[in-house]
Amino acid sequence: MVDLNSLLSSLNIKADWVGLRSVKEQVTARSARNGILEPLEVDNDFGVMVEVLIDGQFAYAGTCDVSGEGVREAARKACAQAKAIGDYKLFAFSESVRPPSKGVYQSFAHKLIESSQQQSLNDLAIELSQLLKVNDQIINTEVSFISIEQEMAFVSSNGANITQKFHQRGIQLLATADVKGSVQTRTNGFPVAQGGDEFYDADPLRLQAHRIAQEAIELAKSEECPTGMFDLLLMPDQLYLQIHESIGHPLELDRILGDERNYAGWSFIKPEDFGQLQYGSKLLNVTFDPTVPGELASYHYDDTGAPALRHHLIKDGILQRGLGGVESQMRSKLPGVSSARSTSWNRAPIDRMANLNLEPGSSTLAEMISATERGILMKTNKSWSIDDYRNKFQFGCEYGQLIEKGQLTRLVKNPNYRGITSSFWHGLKMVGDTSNTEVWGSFYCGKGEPNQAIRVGHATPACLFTNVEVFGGGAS
Amino acid sequence: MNLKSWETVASNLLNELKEGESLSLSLGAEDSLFMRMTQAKVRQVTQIEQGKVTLHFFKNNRNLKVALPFTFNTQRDTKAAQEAILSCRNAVQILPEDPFIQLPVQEGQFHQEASVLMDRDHLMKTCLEQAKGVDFVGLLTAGEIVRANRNSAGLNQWFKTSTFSVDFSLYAQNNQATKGLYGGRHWHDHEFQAIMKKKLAQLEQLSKPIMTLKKAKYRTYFSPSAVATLMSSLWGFASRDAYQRGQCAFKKLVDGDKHLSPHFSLRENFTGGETPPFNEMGEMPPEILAIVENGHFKNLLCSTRSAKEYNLPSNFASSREGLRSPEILAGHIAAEKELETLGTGIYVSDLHYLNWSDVQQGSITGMTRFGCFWVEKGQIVAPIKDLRFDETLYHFWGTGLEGFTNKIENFPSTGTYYHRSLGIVKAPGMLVNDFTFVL
Repeated sequence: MVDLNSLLSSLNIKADWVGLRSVKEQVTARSARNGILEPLEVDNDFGVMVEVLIDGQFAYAGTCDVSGEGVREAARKACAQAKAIGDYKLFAFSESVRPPSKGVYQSFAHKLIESSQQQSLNDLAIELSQLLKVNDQIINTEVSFISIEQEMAFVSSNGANITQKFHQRGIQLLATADVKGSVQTRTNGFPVAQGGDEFYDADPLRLQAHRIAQEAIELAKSEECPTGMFDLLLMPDQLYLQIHESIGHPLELDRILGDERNYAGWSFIKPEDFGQLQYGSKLLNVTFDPTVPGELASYHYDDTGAPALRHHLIKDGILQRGLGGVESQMRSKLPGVSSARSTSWNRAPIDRMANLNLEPGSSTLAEMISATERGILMKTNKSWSIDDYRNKFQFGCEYGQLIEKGQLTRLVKNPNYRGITSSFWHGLKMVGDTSNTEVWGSFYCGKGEPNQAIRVGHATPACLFTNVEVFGGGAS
Repeated sequence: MNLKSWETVASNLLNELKEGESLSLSLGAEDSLFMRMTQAKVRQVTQIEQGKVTLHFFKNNRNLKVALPFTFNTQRDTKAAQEAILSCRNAVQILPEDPFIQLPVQEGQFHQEASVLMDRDHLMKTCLEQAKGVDFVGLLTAGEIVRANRNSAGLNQWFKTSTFSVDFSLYAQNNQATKGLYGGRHWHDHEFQAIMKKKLAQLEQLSKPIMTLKKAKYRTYFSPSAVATLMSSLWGFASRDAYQRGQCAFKKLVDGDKHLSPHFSLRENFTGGETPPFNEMGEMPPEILAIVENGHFKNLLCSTRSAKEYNLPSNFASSREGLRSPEILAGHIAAEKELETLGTGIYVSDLHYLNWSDVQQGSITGMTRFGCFWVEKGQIVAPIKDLRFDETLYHFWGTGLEGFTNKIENFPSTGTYYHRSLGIVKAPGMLVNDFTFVL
């Protein structure tokens, strides 16, 4: 890393406030297909973003030239831009939206494999891709290990001094089966987490590989998901994305303010809904929680320096606060959270999700199944789509299983469901307990202009929803 | 972002190679302005200078890729890349042989500079002045982009361009919106003014009370913009690798189980010069490659790696095997008579959040967005509330396709994930019977 404080001292610019944020990151992608290791890919990135505040207008200039000369040139450009557009500013900010926080954060990692010992990971990826091919009905297998090492630092003219180090991992296992022309793909859902190479635990992964391949074959042999209104039991590896799309995005304050209307979209939530709106059933409790160890988007400070604290966004079904950093809170006069985040050094911070969790309730999985007369259990997201106001959604899953008279029965392939956000969450009938709670997330949550893909975490139990429109593959 | 510093660094690295080693170098760089606007004011303004060089290192039929920042500072970039080569030498020793290795190719020399000096301050101010008094939201992007390749087989390619785009929406008081895009290499104030004038006129149409339609099958016209969104949002449907893996929406077409409409022809077309005519390995695909011709399957995009794996000829697609410069050929419907030809049905201006709902059947779901209308007897009746659709490409490019308009529009890529994208989609308007809306 570079010494940001020295760089900050060396800047010869006139601004009301200056911040420097550096991000150094290495992403290693290790993939195997059908027993063959693909070319290893190691992506190194490093750069500095200069932020200046002049007469209430922020401007940003990012550079991968982290020399003193490079950063000073970026600072000059940022100042020139802030002055050039001063007459057109949307909102006059003050330095109070950049808290002078000081501190450090580091992901906990049990094990970090030295680069000289990484052959073991190559061998494991190859082995798993071979294990996934349980017989000739499996036509394709894929294994991906993603390892991310990131260090960010932030200093500012009003005294912020933050360093945060993240170890992040993701694993995908995939098997595609072709049984007499019926093709089905089954994956492990691509789990992601903060942590070290303990994530690549061989024995559980071998068992997972075998199960996934067998399920792909069973699904290819199974009947099509029926069409109609059913109770729907969503497992965490699907429900996390439902939470992401139909709770997370619509609660982003910058969307509610209209900033995203040209790209990601607006929101059905209005400013006056906070503290009032019954978002879903009384069983619905959702938190913004950047403090959960091991969840993908845990941190101590957001990218503006705001300290990260746990807050309820929805409590007993009532909407409490939005997902928005200090700038959006100031603009909207609404309560928010420390979630102004940028994808890297080359983008300005905007309102994002981080860890957005559905809090556990009191139902075991067995209780939810036995309470269902006519329903479908769905696992593992396959397809997702939602409108720009975050109302009308449609999801497809890899794995479906009928629930008949309180019992799990036949597998069904191509299970899909669709609905409208508000009525769907009002139909939340039972919430799973800690025994069926899982932590998921994604490396790729997209929004923003210019575009930003950010990493998010979601913890949720399984949940039961009543009276949902369900259908099968190719069936409109 | 000058050629000389790139060539110096690249030559330094190629001179580092020892016997039995090969190297491909691929560069992407940009100097970009991003001005984000909402309510015709500036929300954020950002300038980014960034470069990334990818070293693809080969030895003893083993290979790996290492990417690192590239600053156009010859000394610093050379030093960083030399260290990366050392790490490649160590890493390659523990890798197994790669049976599908894609060794560096000699495709000769290519040099194209279409970089014009842009007064970015002028663009910013013109944009903001034109937007005054309107609920204008969007992004102005402007600046230079570089793509380049060098390798140890003698390849030397350099592509530099300056582009801009204003990707925007205008909102009416009833929250209905119209979408606009002005992009290219040469900014002309009068062109942007003309687009704004046209969009403001459309905004008036949107101020009528909104109509809610029931889910049903409707005769539907898709604007060129909606067709371009359809083309650029759907991944893998023309990929050889996806076909072999059981993930290709065109499988039934390729296998001859289904056909598409004789009105439908899709091709890759690199003749316009908007996209570098080489992939990340420096391979040069044909200038024009037919994917579907008059409803009949012609080619899937096949990278050299896929070609080796599946024992097929390569057509030098990128490693992702995605369409980089797709074009749907124009048809017989008079573009200026789009409403008249639609008659009664839905006019779709834009689409949003498309995804495969069943890739095996070629089924796609997504939403209408931005000022879509109910039309009766060729006249706009009212804007409609957004609808969700779920339909198969074998219907909208097949049995349900009535035809395309006779005018193609160009849609330069506005993608900015990680870096600014290059590329263009060329699409006409499209008329489909019995298009299925589900929610």
